[in-house]
Amino acid sequence: MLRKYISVVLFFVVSFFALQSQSDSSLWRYFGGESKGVAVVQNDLYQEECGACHFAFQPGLLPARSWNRLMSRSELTDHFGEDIAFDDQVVFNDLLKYLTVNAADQSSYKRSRKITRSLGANDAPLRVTDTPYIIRKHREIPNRLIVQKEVGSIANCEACHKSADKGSFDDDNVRIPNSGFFKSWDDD
Amino acid sequence: MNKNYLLLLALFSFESHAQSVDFNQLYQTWSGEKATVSSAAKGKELWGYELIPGKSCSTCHGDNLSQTGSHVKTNKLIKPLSPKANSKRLTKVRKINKWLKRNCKFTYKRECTPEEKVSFIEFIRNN
Repeated sequence: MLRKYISVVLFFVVSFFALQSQSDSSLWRYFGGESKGVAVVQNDLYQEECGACHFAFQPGLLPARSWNRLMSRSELTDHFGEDIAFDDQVVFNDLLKYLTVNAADQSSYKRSRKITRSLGANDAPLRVTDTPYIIRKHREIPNRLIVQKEVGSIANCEACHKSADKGSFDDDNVRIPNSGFFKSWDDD
Repeated sequence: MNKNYLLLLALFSFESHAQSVDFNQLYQTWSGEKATVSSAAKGKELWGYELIPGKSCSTCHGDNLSQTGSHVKTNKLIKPLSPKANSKRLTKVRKINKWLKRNCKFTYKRECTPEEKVSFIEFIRNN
C-alpha cells in the first residue's frame, strides 16, 4: 500500500519537473500562466504615432534597452533615414513609458521571452529582425519572397503573419504571398 | 420648457458636428499666409512633384484622395486623405501641423514653406 502511494507521488513529482523543463509545452503554459505570442498593443497613442507609418511592432518584440535606444534624440532624428523627432514632450514621455514598461524583457509572453533569451545582456538591437531568435525563425525564407512587392521587407510582419496585430506569430497563421503557402522554397 | 430643451439639444448636436478647424486662422499662424483662388490648383500641381526622385505626396497617398494609399517604404495602408471619404481628416489643428512637418521632411527632406502648406491643405479640402 505504502509503496503504491509513494509511486503515485513520485509519478507526479517527476511529471512536474519534466513539464517544467519543457516549459514551452502547452500543459505547462496552462498551469504556469505563460501566454503565447506577444502582448497585443492596447495603446491608441502608440497606434497613432507609430502605427500610422508602419506595423505597430508590439513593445514585447524588443527589450527595454532597445526601445530606450530607438527613442533617443539621435535615433529619432534619423529613424531608419527619417526625421521623426517629437515636438510634444508629453507624447514622447508617454510613448517611451509604454514601450519600456511592456518591453520583451518585462513580459511573460512566450515570444517575448524567447527573443529576450536569444539576446546578450547588453545587446540592444534597433530592429526586431536583428534579434537572433527572429533571424533564426526566418532564415529558411528565400529572399525573393521577402523583396517581392506584396511584402517589400522582412520588417513587414503583417504581409505574412495574418494575426500579427493580435500578437500571434504562430506558423498556422502564416501565409507567404506567391509561395503556394509553405511548400518547397528551395525550388529555384 | 420641453421645446426649449429640444432646441438646445438640436443646437448642441449641430455644434458637435461643425467643422472645428478655422483654416484662415490656421494659415495666419503660418507666417500670416493666406489662401488664394489658385491655392488648390497649386496644391494639385505640387502633389505629384518629385523634389527628390521617387518621392512625392502621391507616392504614398495616391492621386485619388478618396482612395486608400500605401506607404512607399513600409507598405502600410494609409486611409483616404479626402475629408469627403474620411470624416476625421483635417479636423484637428495639432494633427495637421504634425503631419505636414513629418511628411514634408519625409518627401522633401525639409519643412514646407507656408505657401506650400496652404496649397496642400486647400487641395486636400477640395478633393
